[in-house]
Amino acid sequence: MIDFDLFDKSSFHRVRLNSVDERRRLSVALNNTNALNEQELLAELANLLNPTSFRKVLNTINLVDPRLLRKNQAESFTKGFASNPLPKLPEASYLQLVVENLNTEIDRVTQTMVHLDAYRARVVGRATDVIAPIKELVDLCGYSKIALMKLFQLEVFSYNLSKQDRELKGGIYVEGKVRGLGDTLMIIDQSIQPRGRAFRSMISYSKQIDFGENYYKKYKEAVSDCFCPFPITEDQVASFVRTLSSLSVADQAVGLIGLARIGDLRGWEIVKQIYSSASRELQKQLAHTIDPCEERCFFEALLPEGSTDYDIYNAAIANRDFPATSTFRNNADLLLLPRISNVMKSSGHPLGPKHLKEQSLLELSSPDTVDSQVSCAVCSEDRLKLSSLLRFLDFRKKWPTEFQIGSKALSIVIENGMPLHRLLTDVEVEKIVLKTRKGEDRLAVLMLRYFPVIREFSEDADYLFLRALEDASAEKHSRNLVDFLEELSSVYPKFATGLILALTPRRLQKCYKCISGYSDMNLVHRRLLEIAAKVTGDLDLIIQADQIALDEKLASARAHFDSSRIFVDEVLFKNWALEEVSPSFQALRKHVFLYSPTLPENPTTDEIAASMNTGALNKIVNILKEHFLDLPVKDAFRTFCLDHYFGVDSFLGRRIRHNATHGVLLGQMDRLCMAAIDKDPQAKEELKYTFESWRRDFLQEVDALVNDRFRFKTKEFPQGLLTVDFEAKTKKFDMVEMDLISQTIVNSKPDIVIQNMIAGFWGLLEPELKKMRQYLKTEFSQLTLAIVDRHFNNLSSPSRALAADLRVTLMERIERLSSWYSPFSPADISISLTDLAQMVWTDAEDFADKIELVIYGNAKDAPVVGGNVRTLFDCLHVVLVNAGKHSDGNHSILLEMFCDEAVEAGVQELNIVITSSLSRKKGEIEENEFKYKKMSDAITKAEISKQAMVVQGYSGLRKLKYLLFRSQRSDTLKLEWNRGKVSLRFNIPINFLGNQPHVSTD
Amino acid sequence: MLALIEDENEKAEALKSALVEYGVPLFVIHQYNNVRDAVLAVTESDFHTIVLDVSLPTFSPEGMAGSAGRAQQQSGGLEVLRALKFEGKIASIIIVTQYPDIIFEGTSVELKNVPKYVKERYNQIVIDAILYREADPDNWRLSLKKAVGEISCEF
Repeated sequence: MIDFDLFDKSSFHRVRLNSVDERRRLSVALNNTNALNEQELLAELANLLNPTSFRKVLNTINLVDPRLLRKNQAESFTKGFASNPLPKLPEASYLQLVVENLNTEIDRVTQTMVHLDAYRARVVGRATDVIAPIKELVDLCGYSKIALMKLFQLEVFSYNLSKQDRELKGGIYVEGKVRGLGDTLMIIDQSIQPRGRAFRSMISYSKQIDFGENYYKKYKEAVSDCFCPFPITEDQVASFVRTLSSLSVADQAVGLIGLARIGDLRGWEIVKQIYSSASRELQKQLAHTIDPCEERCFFEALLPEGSTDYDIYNAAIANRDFPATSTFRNNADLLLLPRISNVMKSSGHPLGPKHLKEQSLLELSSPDTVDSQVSCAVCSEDRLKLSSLLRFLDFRKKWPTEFQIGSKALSIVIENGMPLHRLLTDVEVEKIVLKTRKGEDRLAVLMLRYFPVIREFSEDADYLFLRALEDASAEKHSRNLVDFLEELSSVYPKFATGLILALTPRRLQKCYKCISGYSDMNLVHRRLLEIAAKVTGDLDLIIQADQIALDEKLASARAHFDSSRIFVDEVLFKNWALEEVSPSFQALRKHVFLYSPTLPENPTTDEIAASMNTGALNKIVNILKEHFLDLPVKDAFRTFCLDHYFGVDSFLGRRIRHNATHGVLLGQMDRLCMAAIDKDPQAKEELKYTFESWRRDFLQEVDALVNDRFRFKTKEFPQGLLTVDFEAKTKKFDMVEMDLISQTIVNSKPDIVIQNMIAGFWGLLEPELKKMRQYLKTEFSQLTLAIVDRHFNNLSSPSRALAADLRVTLMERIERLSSWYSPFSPADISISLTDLAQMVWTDAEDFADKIELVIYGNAKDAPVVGGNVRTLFDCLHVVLVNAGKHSDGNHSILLEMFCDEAVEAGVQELNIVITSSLSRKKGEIEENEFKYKKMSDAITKAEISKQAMVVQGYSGLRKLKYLLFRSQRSDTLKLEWNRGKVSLRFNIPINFLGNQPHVSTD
Repeated sequence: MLALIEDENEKAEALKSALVEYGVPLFVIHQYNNVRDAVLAVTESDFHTIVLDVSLPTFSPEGMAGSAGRAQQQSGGLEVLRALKFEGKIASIIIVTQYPDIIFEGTSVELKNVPKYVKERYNQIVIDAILYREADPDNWRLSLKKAVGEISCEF
């Protein structure tokens, strides 16, 4: 087999060594070498020459080392081509050498053309041995990049290769590797892979990236390798040909064909010079082209259905021998490469791993098919996405000062131009916004403001985006975001969905002109998610919307729980106080009446106040108080606060033991971080490390809070936040006492007096609780927010959004924790299953007023907690609405909630049976049987899948089935029909609190 | 016109009476207790001076219904500064906060450095950034008096 290896030995001959011996060695080596490429020759020379000479070799040949040229190309790519011209003389000389070589290798050029023709013909004819001509090309003309690229292209576009083809392909591939073409194969693979894998090399690079100083360099290399750009300026022609033709005559020939088209198109003098030095025969061969019809057929045969012009962009690298694809690729590169370079330059870590993962730089996911007229496709038809995008960018480039987005350009760009967010710099966005006709194209401004928001996290970008959104929605929809985005979704579904998904609660709450409060925000958010779900068919969005509604319903219940968290076991305290304090109160009462004969037998509070004002009673009370009240009340307050069994201290202790503080502060934050880590595998390691180090520091502060600060201040716990001086005689304490005296005199019932005393004590404790809340909201939040910032602010821009989310969540968590330290409200301890069911029933449309709901079962009064309460709420909602709808209206609906064994703290299986009566009237029986059958079918036959939920609707029994399926209880769902009564039963695991006070570790 | 942007009633009242005491006419003081109202006010009207708390709830107490535990915007007051910046407005700002430093988009800035930072970042003139401590009213009152002294001729 003949190799036409054209690695540049001439550059080795240019090496000037001082030592005669060394010069001789070099000369012998160059004449006798069997090296197939520069690398092999360098390896030989490294053994033959001394280090100084070898370094000189390296210095000299580096000027034209293909690897260096590739590197130069990468430099040019990221620095801007013009600023980094390649060395002209050696390149011009080299180009001359290429042409001279081709002049003498005219037979092989001809063979190349013949084999390529044969290959094209076989592809078009869908022959089963399409690789054979490639194999012949390789055998006769040597290994060429163009042959390997075509080989790969056939593979990646899933052309039906025969067994023979596959064997041939494997052989070529293995041989290519043996010949040191592994890198080439990899680059080819990445270059011509269809969508989804084009950025694989960048991703693989990013995995190695340590975000240190090598980051940018490696990244540039990766980008360069991946794109294999066509020359876009005359300066790059030489390096392009050099890169293409470093391997074989076939590459040189095909490279020059592509260059001929582009050179002609761009009027490059250097190309004319090359051709002028080509022999007549070579010119004839290079001018060899194919019939445009044949070209179209070739692409039709090659590109699978559903291919986009992005696929053509990728495929073009393997089809430089076609005029249209060469031109298309060059057109695309001409706009894309400098732009990407600019975007990269304009920001610190421009296209980070997240962007790479998204593959959204060019990925155009719409199923638009390539026009059957492929030759038209490669000529940039408007309807093709990449072409539209490039055209838009081209407009921008050609008329930078006058460019305005009119509605025409907008309609093309707005739906197809989502990858613009990667390609437009912030400065450009700003310029375009300024140039946009005021008031006319608010959508354009909105789109442009949207790009920076999804590109990176910035509060300023958010602000401008939200103002643009408000303005756009004001135009026709009076700032009704739901109406606006619903209409937008019918015209620009992808754009509208993008906007909706960007409208997180964090952003939505800042739509100051459109959103008036959280309830409003929840409603809007929910409706928007439903719109997006309709467009995308994504069930998760429906579930998310449902969750918002449910959260809001449960919020009122939660507000009760959370504002009443600090706890004293009143029963135990009352028992204690009745025994220890009440006798003193009774004694005081007795003495007051004894020494105040003017006091009526059953005085009212006003009468007591009047007597006190006269002074006589006041004096008596003051004396009696000292004996019968001061010490016992002080003692009672001390016990109320410090008793380890039922006092406030026991609450603090229980919180510590039950780890509730940790749960509240850490749980949500952990989940947020873990979700971010799972979402972004590229940044996984970095995020994980950051998360762990943040958690260590944060946990230390939470531990200190729990162990040292959630305490009454004592010698043992000097940092305790509750600083009650039990000996001090404060004004407030006096007032409590006076009130107690008044109550004692008015009321002979000791338990009522004790109840009032408890209320008074909460009042005394309130300043301390306020101090605790204040501490949490100020010092502790400041401290812990600083920890978040310290760890998360160094992340790359997109991940910094996590820092913002963490800050918001942390504030919410702290707010929630601080709400626990509010005076106790004895009415709200926990939510029982009955309360939950009643809450559902009240919410269940308009049945609640008409039909009675009877709740029974051994679990009905048990308090429950945990995530499954939400699921249970949802399930009950479905069954109760269903029962209400189908009930005859004359009988109660029965809801039985029971556990097989006695209800205890912990997770237990809750059995639910809901029974409703269907009408037994004549004529309605058949209808009801039909209803029953329909319900039965919904339970036994309905498909449980996200897709099914989207298609058939996420409601009714299907929803119940799906909810139970998610809890792995779908098999417990049963329907029974007995004498006009329909019973639906299912099980769900639920976390019972037993008889404990309500403790949430949410 | 002076905007007093503070969500805690007691603090707002203390600040208002101090402002009046130091020469600000009561009728020029417009009070806001949440980010939304404050941002809408500063975008729609021109305030010469803004007395600004940093940690604020997004909505008024009525709007907080359904908040499901959502709380203050940690740096809600900065939304006001951002609104001024993008509306092209400049006001004299007196920041009154209970924190020894303010977190600007993840960067913690000590109160003494806040004027410089806000000038660079939001193009607003911060007369003073005052540490408000309920237990130590003399200090913040003195600082406020001084700050008002610098701008009082404008009222």
